[in-house]
Amino acid sequence: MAEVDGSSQDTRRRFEQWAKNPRCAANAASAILNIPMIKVARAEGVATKFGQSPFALARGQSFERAMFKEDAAVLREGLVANGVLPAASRGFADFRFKRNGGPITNIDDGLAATTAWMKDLAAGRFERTIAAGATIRIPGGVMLPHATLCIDAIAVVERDGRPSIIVGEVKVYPDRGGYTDATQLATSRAQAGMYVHGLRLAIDEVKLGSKLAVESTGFLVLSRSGSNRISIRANEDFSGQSERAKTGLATLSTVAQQLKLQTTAGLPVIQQAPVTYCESCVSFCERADRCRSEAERTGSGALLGDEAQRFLGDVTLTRVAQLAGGAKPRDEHEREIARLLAATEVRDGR
Amino acid sequence: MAAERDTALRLRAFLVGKPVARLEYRPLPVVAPRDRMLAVFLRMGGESSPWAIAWKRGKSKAEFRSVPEARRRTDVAGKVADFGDALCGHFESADGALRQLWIPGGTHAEMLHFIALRFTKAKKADAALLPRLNRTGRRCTQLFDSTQNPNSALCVDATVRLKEMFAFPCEPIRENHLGFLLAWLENGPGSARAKAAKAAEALSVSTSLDPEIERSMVSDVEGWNEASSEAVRNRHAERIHNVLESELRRRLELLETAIAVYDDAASENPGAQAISSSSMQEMARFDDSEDFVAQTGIVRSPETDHSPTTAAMSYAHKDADMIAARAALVPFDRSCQEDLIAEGSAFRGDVLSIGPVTIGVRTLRTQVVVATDGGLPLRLRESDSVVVAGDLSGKGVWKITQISDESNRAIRSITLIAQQATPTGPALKRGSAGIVFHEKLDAELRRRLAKMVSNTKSMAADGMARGAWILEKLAEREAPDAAPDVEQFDGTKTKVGTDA
Repeated sequence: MAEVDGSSQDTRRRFEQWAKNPRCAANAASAILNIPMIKVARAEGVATKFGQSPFALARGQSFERAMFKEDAAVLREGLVANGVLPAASRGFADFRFKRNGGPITNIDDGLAATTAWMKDLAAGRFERTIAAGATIRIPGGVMLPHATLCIDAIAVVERDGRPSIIVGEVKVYPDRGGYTDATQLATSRAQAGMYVHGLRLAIDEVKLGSKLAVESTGFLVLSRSGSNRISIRANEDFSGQSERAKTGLATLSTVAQQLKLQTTAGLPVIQQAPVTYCESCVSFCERADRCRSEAERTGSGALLGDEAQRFLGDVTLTRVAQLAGGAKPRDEHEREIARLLAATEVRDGR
Repeated sequence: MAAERDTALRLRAFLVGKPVARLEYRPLPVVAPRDRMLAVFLRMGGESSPWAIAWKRGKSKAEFRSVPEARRRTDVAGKVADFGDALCGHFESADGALRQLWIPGGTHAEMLHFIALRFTKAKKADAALLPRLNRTGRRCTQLFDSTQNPNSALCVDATVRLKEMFAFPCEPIRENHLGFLLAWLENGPGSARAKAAKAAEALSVSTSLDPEIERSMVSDVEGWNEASSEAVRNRHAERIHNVLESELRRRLELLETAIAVYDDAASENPGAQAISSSSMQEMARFDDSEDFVAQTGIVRSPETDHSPTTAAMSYAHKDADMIAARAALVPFDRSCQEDLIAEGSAFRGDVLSIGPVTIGVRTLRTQVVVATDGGLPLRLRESDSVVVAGDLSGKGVWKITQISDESNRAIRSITLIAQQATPTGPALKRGSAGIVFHEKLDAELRRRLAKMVSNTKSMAADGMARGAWILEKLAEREAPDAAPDVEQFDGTKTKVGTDA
């Protein structure tokens, strides 16, 4: 839920954008160069309707403010009740930006304050066991120009004599138990996994790795249906998602080198990069219509979804029509497609 | 449905330029208009309570309710209670008929769940309002459950049902929009349908409003909150209501069209009668549970099963419902049978031989050998029970005794032995072609399991925790010496839980 200074520099969002369609070079370039696809689409004259509900944004902010009010009293109560923090825990480190109700004015201040707090922890000073809006920078320059993460909530406990950081992700959607939207939950876990990985890198960068640990399990903070009360899901396992973030960032780094992208590169690089349309583009990319038209022109199986694309491989829909019309299959794969089409034809005839 | 079959149907739809039927028959009953209620919801961004609700019973005029400010919980509760009264009245006045609630899509089903979670056990509200809200919450719990249960026809999600009925020439992700589906199902050439579908897709049918519409309402919502006089407040409230009503009306009209399209899509599967009966029983069970609530004040929580035993029992019942729905529909619908074949839970073949076989010393049974396509998937294994498709009684059970693939794997021979002296179902003879055998769909076994899980009698007698007997049975299976002898077809004796 947290945004870094206008959201344009939030690495996590860029990473997730890339992860939704890693095969698309234009998408990778957009994520690496930190040029949102909406800008590219608008430059191409596309009237986009993407955007967030003003009420939802306001609700997100008021939900967070209520949770972190009075030294995060509401969150602490929930974390203690769910066994994340001990009852005796205390102290709140607020690294949120001013527009979100915190004291921080810019990213550099956020980074400095967060690093100072981590050093305090490493030195054994446990005065602040909940942190909001902790800001870290992923070393290595994977994402151009900045690789910055802003973490919604962090809890700190003592394990085996040293401080251990527990990552939390705050979402305003309601917790519906087993019926909670699986995609929303997966996205939240993926974000938290990114934070786990980012924190480990950042802690190693300041050489605190031996004194400060980051746990693989964390917590999600959701809302309760029809109210402002929080619902905490403790013991969420983010280890797989953390590994995904690690692998993903490494791949992205390679892609950045392959594309030879420079921080000064602009819209034309994205506009000229090859595109690969897939099903998920509909849900996140403002250029999806344009790329879908391109897929129509080439007869890509992606028009019928990812599963159809996987099944057809390089065989185009034009070729499928030929096979359905009786054309002789060229290989075993085409024979399989023809067999499947013939089987459904019999059924249609009933 | 198996991915490959789904892809094949999509390809077929693409080739003909319009949706194609996935099923031969409509699997769900569509009740007469007087027994139907339609409901649509809208919510403010970020909120989970309704901002506006519209409903329509039978041929009466649609009712619209909204509040100017969805974040004022008391105002919202009043409108929810109004809706709840109509909803409960609809089902309570059924008078022996099956009643249904129709909703446009998944987010509207979610709203039923939100209402259930918020109001079923609510404790704070106006004294007159509270029982109405609690009752609405309980009814919404039942109806939300119904949307998750293929063996229930009480609450119907129109989008889910159209997707189940037709394969569309598009990406699956785009099928979650009712307007998009209906545009594809209109008459006309493929290109016109595709264009109409794209245009329809631009208008929201979910419970969320288009952000642009919400942005246009911000000034009125703020104006209503900050108004200095009643007259100004009313003006803002009226403008907000007009926007919400127009959005509700569009969704309601789409829903009415969807019901008509679904009703016309195909004739009803004769097996759907069983789903109707099950739904009627569900209505009666709910009435009983309401009596129980009135007497004891104990209410089932929409949030938790409270104990692992209840959760296990509930799981077994849900599993049983899925099997029961399949068992009802598969015998009549050849497309359902095709789905089972594609999944590997059924096979089609030609009868190579048929004849009597003696089991043990005096048990005479029929044995058939069937040749099937070796290239198709098969999840069935030796010792599994199957029935011949079209055996309406479902009692002509055959046991698979041998599965053998030919060396080139093109043909697979399957040997089966009838479990009855005179098996029911279509008569088989040597040379019978295209016979479909599918897994035995027996919901009763699961229901018995659900009952056994919660068997409190044995628990009390043995001083065990509920369900502990399962662990004991499992332990018995792991210790073959302790298990009883079972006589096999060939007369040999084996222990329970060991291979013959």
